[in-house]
Amino acid sequence: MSNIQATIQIFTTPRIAINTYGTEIDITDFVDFESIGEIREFIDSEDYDFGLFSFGELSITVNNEGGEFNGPEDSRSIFPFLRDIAKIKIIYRETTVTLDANDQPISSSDSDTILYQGIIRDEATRFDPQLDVATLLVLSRDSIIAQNKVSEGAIADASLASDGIKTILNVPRITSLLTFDPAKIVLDQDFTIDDGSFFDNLNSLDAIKNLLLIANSVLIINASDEIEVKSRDEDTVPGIMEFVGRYQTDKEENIIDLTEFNNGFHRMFNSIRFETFESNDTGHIEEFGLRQRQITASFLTNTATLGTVGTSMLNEFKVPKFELFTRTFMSFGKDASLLRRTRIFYPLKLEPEIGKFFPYFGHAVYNDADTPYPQFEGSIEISPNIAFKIIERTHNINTFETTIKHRQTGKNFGEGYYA
Amino acid sequence: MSFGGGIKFFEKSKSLEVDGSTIVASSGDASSSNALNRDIFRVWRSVGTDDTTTETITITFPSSTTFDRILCINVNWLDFTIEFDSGGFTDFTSVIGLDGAPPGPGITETAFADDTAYYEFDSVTTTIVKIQVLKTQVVDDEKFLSQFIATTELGTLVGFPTVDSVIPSRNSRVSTVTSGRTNVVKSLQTFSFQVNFETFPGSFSSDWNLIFDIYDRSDPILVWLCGGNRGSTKFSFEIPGYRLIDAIPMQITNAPELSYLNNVLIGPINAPFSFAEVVQ
Repeated sequence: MSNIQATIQIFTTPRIAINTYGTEIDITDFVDFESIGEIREFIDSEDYDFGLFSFGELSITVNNEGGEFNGPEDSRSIFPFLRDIAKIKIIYRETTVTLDANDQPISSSDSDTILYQGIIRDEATRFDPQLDVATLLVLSRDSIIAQNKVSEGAIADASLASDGIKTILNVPRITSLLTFDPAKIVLDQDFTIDDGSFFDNLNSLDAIKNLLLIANSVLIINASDEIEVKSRDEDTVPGIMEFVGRYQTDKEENIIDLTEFNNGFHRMFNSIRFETFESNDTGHIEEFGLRQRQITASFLTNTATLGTVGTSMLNEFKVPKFELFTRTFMSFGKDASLLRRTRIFYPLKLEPEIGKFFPYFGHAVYNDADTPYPQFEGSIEISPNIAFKIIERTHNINTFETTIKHRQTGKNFGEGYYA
Repeated sequence: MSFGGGIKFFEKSKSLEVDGSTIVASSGDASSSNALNRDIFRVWRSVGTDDTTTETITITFPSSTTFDRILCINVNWLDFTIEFDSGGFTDFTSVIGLDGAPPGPGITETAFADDTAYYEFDSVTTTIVKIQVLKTQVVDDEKFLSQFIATTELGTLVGFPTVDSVIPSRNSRVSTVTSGRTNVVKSLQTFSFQVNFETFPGSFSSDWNLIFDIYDRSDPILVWLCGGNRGSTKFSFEIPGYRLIDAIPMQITNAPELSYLNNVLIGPINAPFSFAEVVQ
């Protein structure tokens, strides 16, 4: 016999030099878990907009009675170098304990899933000497990009956007924290930058966001600390996550609730307007009315380029796609990653007429009085044939629940369904 | 010499890995550090042993350490010895075990039948303790140990205050799904309870001194509700909290409301204390 224990563990990896990290330290027993709340990551998830991405920030309150979280000037501190940009990692651990016949433990094994990785932003660290606690602000790892700026002349006129992104990311302060592999920078729509001086001295994160928006691409830091830039297309690996509702009786239910199911019109745009150029889908404008997104891209002056990138963005967002939220157990939701494919089983309720039987295919006969058509109840049925991808994931550390936002895949009408 | 009485209190374990103690096992060494953490669900377990093979576990303290009690929590040992280093490995002296009688020269067992070993002895100061296990209670089983605790006793209650609300919480998270059913995710088990000195005689001064000393301590203390008692003559059934394996690191969490019964200053005293399991 065995039993399973689920816990949250928190670790920090302090720096020991400017761009060098030391050994990971378990700080779980110092953390006030109720101070953490939720960990949210999203892509294109805000209503009436696209192009926004965020990997969440959180606030952690720790017991500092022993001075462990003081700065390096205190010999008791676990931070030999600056506390700023020390790594923070939060994992969900399932410990399987094997018991003997007398219910005594004889062995155990851990299965860990990383829920969140971030870095301490020390400018927001606050100490309460009366309560002997410290509050740390932890930002997602991509925030390290915002601690750099683009050098003057770093991005040349007529350079490719992908080359510009590689130049911005391949700097020591970023690569000391994250793994940069040029092969993982693959834009959906690579384009030629006309005016590279636009990016001179710009904050690196702002520069990246500008380029990603026009390239119709997203930036993700994966669980291996690798920077990936890719299209918004759903990942084909790993497999499809299945979310099961109450009336799917042949599968194990894992949906706590399902909310905000909608047709996706709030994220539909059929006109992209740049400063000097406009891309329109006239057929969609005629059918759905003008739904325009204005974009600043003064680093592009070539109308052919503007036309190409405008069309690319239109193709991504001109057709409304279903969206919804599901809340599930963290033991299942921990494996959710942005752009992973999902399938939702949410049928209507089927009941046979009172005193009658279900008309099972292969058994029932038409006009048989004992197997009439069943009765359907319920407002919305979500077919498992609809192909969704994850665009937002929120873990609640206290309730061990995960909320996921799904968006239908595909670009055109008729796309976004499993075969 | 024998031990008796009720609830026992000890200092925090002096052999925790987080405090610098180390451990080496003759087999299954990869799991040996489990014997020095606070989680009784993680065990050291031997590999490929039998009742003809002696497994040796050596615990080294970070510095010279003084203690007078040993607990080996959750074991399946039948035949074993425990010694300490004093310029060579030496037997403990004036040893008494769970049955109140010396088990053998020093700590030597040949027919041990419980799931937790406990020994009181003359205080020693050492840096190394050695355990040698030959046989298990089920023949040829792999040997295991959840926790090795070296400690110093703070005291044993002579009287028997009321112990209420012993809660072995699994810290469960309960979610209700759309069908109305629930999903329960269980976490680590933690204990809490109330110890109520209700109309407790003031003459039990050793108990009062002990509980107020514990109240004043800022370090965790180990609480052993069963006090080493077990079996059908002591318990109708050993509920969680009262088992031999339940030596729990705790602290008093409340500010006790103290009073003399009916305000008679030479009368019995009321004093409720709340205990909760703590990090070490």
